[in-house]
Amino acid sequence: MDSLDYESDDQLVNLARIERNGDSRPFEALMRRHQGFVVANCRVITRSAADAEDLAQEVFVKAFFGLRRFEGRAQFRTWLKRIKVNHCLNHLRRTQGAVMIELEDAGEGHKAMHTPPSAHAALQAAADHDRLISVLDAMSDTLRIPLMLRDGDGLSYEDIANELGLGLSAVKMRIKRAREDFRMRFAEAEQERGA
Amino acid sequence: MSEQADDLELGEPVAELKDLALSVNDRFGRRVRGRIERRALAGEFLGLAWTAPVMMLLELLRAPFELFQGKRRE
Repeated sequence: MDSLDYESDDQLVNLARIERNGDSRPFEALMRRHQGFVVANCRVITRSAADAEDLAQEVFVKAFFGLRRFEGRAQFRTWLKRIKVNHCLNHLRRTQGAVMIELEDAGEGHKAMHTPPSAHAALQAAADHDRLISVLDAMSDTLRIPLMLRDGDGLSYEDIANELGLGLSAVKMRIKRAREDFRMRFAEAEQERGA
Repeated sequence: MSEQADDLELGEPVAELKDLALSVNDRFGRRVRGRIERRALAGEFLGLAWTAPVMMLLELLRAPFELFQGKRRE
């Protein structure tokens, strides 16, 4: 543990800016503090551990070179989340062609987009976070991504609508459904785990 | 319903998504450092690629003037 690990994000950001071409420890302290959540969020959005690590590394590289432009109006973590969201969504656009497939109206469409619950995989995960990620992996992109942007990254509905190119009401509907779907799958996984 | 009211009703397990984190090994930091160093080096070369032709052009422009001044002194 470095003594810098006790400094606040703001102090570390200021130090990292001053020491940009010299001491890299302030930025490394920031990275140690936030790397867990960046990797986890990238992992949930891409569903791939290898891609997630690669994307998360690139997020920190972008953050390092973008520190001069960081004005400190938002918290460092919030700023980092924005970089992560843009980077992960761009990755999905490149690899999948589009981030979101169009969602049919409630009813059949909702049922059709469900992937088969991989509760078995969820049961095998021992750690809480691994279990959450297993449940999220079983969800469709259309629900999982808005859910993570809202409840993982704390983006506003408007921001999510802009990022995903959707209407505000569609975003609200998806997030509502996603929460229901996530709760349901999680409860199923917990039941099977207990059985 | 407002966004804040929405969030108040989250409860577990949805609320746990905010603190979702995975453990990361030591190699992660080293790889990020490596990428930063490589990109910084590439940036320096790119900078050189711009400045070198400009410097050469300045030298070429300066040469006739220096030649002219040299002849005047003679």
